Amino acid sequence: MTGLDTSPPPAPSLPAPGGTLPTSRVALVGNPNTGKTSLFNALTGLRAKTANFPGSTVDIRRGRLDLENGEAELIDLPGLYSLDALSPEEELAACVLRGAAEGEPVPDAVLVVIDATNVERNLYLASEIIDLRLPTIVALNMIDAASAAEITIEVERLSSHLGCPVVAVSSRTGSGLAEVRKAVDDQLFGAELPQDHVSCTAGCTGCHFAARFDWAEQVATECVETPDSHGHRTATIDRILVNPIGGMIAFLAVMVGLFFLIFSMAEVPMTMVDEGFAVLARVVDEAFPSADMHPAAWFGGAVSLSMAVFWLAYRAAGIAWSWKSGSVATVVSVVVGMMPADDLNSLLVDGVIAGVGGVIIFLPQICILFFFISLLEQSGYMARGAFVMERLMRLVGLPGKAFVPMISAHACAIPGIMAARVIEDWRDRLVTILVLPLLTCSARLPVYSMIAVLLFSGSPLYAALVFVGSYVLGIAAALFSAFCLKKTILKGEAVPLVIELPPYRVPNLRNALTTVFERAGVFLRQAGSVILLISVILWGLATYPSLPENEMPADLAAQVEAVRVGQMVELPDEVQQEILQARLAHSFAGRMGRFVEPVFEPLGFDWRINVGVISSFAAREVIISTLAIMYGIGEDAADDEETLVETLRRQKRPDGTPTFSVGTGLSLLVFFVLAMQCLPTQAVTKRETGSWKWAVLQLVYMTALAYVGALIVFQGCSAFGLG
Amino acid sequence: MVPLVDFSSDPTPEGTIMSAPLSTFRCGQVLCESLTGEGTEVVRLKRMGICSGRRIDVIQPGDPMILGVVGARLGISRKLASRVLVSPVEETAADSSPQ
Repeated sequence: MTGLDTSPPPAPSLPAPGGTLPTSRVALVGNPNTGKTSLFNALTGLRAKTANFPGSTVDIRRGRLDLENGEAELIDLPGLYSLDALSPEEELAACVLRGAAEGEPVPDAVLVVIDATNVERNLYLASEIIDLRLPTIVALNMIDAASAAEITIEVERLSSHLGCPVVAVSSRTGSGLAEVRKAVDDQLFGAELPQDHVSCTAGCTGCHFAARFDWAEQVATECVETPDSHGHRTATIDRILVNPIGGMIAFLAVMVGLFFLIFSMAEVPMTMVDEGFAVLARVVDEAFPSADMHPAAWFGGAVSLSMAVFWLAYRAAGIAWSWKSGSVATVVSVVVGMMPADDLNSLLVDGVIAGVGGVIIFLPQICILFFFISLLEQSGYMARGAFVMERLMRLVGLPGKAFVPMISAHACAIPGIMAARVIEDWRDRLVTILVLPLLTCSARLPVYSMIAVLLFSGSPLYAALVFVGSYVLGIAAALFSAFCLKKTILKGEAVPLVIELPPYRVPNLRNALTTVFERAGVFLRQAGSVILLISVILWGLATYPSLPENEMPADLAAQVEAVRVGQMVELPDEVQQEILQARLAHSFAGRMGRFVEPVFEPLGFDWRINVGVISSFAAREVIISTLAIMYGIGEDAADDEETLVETLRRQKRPDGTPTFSVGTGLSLLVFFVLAMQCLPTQAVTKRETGSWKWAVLQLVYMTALAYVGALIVFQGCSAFGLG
Repeated sequence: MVPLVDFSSDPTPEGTIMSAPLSTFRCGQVLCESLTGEGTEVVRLKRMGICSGRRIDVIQPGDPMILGVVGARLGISRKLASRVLVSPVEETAADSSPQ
């Protein structure tokens, strides 16, 4: 997409006679809050596909529209107020309509959605689109709501004013849908030619905005009769909800409710996902065939299994089988086939299954959050929330609309970043996305909890302060970073608020569910593959180089030998744990932990903690199980907080002082409040900003912030004798 | 109509329109005279119907303030409202729509 093209649009491609034509394409456009999405769902059923528009960060839904004389592709363009586009979404919609979008020819017909309860306002965009001279149909949507409000519209008269067919429709009751199909069919396959049309701005020398609005007012006065009582209900509710005091109270109540719902509803499915994958890992581990198989059969089996996984993954991520992608799959599959049985088992269980589990675990929160966001948006409250928060958010240079992502990020940064597209201005959106991961998400809570128990198990007050302090630190760091970004690389004040406060409406459940499926699908397809890949790489770092038996501590090697020759049935638990510990210490991750020791020493971390920090790069909660392994109590003990904390407390530095002093504990806490340490978030940042550049910036600045924060805390504590 | 600016004491030369920034009005109907400034911020207002010759209802003052424009309620920040020069519409003249 290359900005706005002001040149006149090319002539619409007329359907040539003959059968082998590409499907006709119909663009669905309209102002925001006109029920466009409902109409799209009603016209296409549940067969829509959401995809990123190539070269942009905008998602577009496409669905099949069955018509009498064939079928057409219905393209749900983002809502816009005018062809003078002011957000990336609006710009894309305007570009497609003008035929200026790369890879997307001018649509064969345009279906303009107008809100029947406010025809005058919607006529502005309609007249701009009609002036494009494409075959156009106007759908007078929510006609049921208009009749309920006793608004009468003379459809025929409106049609003659607009110079195009006008159809009254209600996507809620289904009335008029057949007529919409018929009108589209006539435009695409009928002999109907665009009617003569003179733009309402023809001969206009002054402000073309005013000329269009004057025309809209004139047409609406002639064709629409609105009773005086219209809009009173919305005005009454608004007296409370956007009142400076009442509005703030209502906002807090809605947000606390939303937050509570996300946390309480997500807990059960998240536990289920967690335990489900643990069971799956055990089953695969036990069912894994032993290495006694014939090497050729083994190789063939492993290669074909790996190729099957690639086929599935490519399909899910929409990657075509090309020379490049095919050879990647083949090479990896051959490597997999040649892997020793134990390693392959570990790759499957600890790499792939754990990686997939690490992706799926985010789904409950994403689904629940987008469900409620959709309900709030449809009800009309979302705009009020932005209105109420505008002044506060402006203090740090963010727009009021940033409150939705910021609240969401306290559950999980991923849906927060995905929700940032409510912010129109690209720069404001980018700053919001960059600072969101600093807010305390639910994945940090196990880490906070471990440290709180470790340091202050005797004092509930101090333990509570650890939590409160961490939340406050996260919020303060996010606001401070937003402020700094706005003063430096993304200079400029937040774009001043201009927001439509739409009429209050009863939300539609089906629309909310469609949103949920769409967002979940986007996350799984586009972030899922990256997350899985990095999980496997991190598994490799923690596994290789594997510990040769002759380098194992002598007592361990003796016991392993004893099992092999059959003197012992099974290794005792503590020996297995020691082997795990020795292996991790020998791996790349273990070596890196030692290598970076001088870097992290000023923070009070020893090399074992460093291994934990490195291995939790992809998911911060992993530090707990890594510390459990590194301190020799085994991965399973990580779930048992008491054992772990007891073990950690016993650890001594070479000089005999405890490893986990108050200084080290607080420094580790601050590090985890501020550090990125979440790969799925990075993958989503890349997707929503369209470039790895911003994901890398996010990683770099957050890690730097975390390092400096932890350094100050540890050195400060040391100065007071708490190091 | 309760404009914060007291027009009665303001010696206005004959023939000029008494106009004041939109942000100084607390309620009632006003007529948009002109917009100051350039760029996307002005386009943002104009495309929502805040442009010269159009009538605007001030519904709730403050920052941001609520306006009634072309049948819809708009929230706009005070900073933007201060760029819109408007004149009060007499209640009796409210019926004559500007063409």
